[in-house]
Amino acid sequence: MSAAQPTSGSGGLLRDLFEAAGATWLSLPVLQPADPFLETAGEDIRRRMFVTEGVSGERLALRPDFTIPVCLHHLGEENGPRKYAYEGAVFRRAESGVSEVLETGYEDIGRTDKVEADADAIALAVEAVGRLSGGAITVRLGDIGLFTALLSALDLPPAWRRRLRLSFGVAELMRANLDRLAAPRTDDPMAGFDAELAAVAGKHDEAALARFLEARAEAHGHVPDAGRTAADIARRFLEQLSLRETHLDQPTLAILRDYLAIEAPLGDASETLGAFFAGHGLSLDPALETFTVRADQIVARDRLSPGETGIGFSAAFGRPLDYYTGLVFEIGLAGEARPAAGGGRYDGLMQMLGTDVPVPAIGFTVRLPGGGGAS
Amino acid sequence: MSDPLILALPSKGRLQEETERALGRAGFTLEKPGGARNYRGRLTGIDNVEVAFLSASEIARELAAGRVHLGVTGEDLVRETIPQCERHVELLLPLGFGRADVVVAVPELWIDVWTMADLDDVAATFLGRVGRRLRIATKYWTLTQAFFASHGIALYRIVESLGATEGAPAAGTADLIVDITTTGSTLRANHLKILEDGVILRSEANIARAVNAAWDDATRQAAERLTGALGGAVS
Repeated sequence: MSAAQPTSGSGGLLRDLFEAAGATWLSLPVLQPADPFLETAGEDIRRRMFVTEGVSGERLALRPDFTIPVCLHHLGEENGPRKYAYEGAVFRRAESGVSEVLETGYEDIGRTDKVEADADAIALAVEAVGRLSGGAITVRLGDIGLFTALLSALDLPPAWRRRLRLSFGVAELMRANLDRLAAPRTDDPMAGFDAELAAVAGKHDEAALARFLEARAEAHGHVPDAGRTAADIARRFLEQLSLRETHLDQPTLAILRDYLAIEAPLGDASETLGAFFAGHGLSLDPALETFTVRADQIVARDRLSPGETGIGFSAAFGRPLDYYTGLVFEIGLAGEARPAAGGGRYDGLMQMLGTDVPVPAIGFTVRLPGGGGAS
Repeated sequence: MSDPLILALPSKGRLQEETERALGRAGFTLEKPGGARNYRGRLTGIDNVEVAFLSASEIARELAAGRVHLGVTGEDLVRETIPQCERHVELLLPLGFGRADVVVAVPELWIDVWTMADLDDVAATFLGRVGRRLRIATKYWTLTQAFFASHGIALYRIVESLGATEGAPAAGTADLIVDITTTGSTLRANHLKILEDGVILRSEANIARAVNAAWDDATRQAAERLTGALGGAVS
């Protein structure tokens, strides 16, 4: 795969806007290695990708997304913060309609002043959408970081936190998972165990159970070291036994449900959230503090007149990509069902792609007019 | 006389025998003019019906394309091989044979995994613990993807299985499987267990109607008679 070259010349409806914001214009190959998308973007992208093979059998994909190719490009660059912008087609299988969507976008990678970077990105995205269309603009903003902080403050077991975090932004899944955690499990955890296994499992001795499972795997003819380890299974089994004795209590459940129902204009959101957490005796600092400073900045930089625009915070709002870690947002136009732009903070992605430490990053893409697409 | 109704029937195996028996109970006899190796035949006891002998998966494809009017095939094949199958194929009547469940099965040794929610948990930490994504061996890509998506599980990879799927976990080529089972004995012999909520589909042979075939009054009547007689014989 040849490295992307910053290009000059034709193309780029919003190129001047992004370059004025300090971005390097990138021209990225349409064909990308498929594995990074498969490993980091989640099944929704995987399912909709067009995958093909190179001459030596390597798996290639028609790029389904720009963020990952931009990050891969950044990996190959010298260290240090950089901003990038791009324009081109992305390809995702659509059940109906067109599978090729024209997008332009901006990624701001490596900046440690995250609050300013977030506010910059939103202001730039609003301006970008405003340039492309004249109508009234609304911004919907969510924060998976704040939700994660709430899960920690509620002192939920790690397995539950993980599950709820993965459901964030998908209303139906969240509802189903909350219901499931609220109902105690009544099935017999040792159903189907033979006497020997039941005897070892009942002792609550992790090391002994692991040894037993290891010996059994060998007896069953499993290839050694091929997947989950006996130690991991034994640990999780005992963890699950203890979790079964507890379930999500009604007050905690009510806090989670009430939190997810919070909607407010961004200007009022900090106060609403502060009152909500205080009312339940929860302290969410520093997450709430960051939220407040950032909200103030975003509102202060909102250049559109109050009648023309609305920036709303929605506690349950998320976007269905695995790599987001903090602020997420979508920008909508009056009378259009599909968002005109969307983006968010993805501080974990660079590490998933190969850096030793997490690299802070935020970006967004704007759908270009006439670009088609299903979602 | 108008063009005949084309009925696609399984050309081999248990499904073929059971289908022939069901037709017999409904009062029809299969005629294969060229002997057992002919791929076209007729039904006695009803006019205007021509029989095409095909493999069960070909039947699903031919139904989808509307090249045959009716066919006997498994619901699993209809749902697996035909995108948006409701638009192309209507399942008219379950026939009471060819029963097979499409299930999610994990190694018996995964004593900490009882349900899809447990699998979700395991999948979420798998990359960190094992260094790759959870792998599922299956021939049922479509059913697997839809089922896992409905449980919110995204962190996995499907590895294509062309042969003995149930051997993949022990061989280390996959961590779990999605496969069909009738009695569960093959799964048990391979030390696999079905998750409590891991039944994706309870499938059986169906008589299915191709929505996009060329239908006229004569073929419609023949289809109704056939289905009616089979329905009477099944219940």
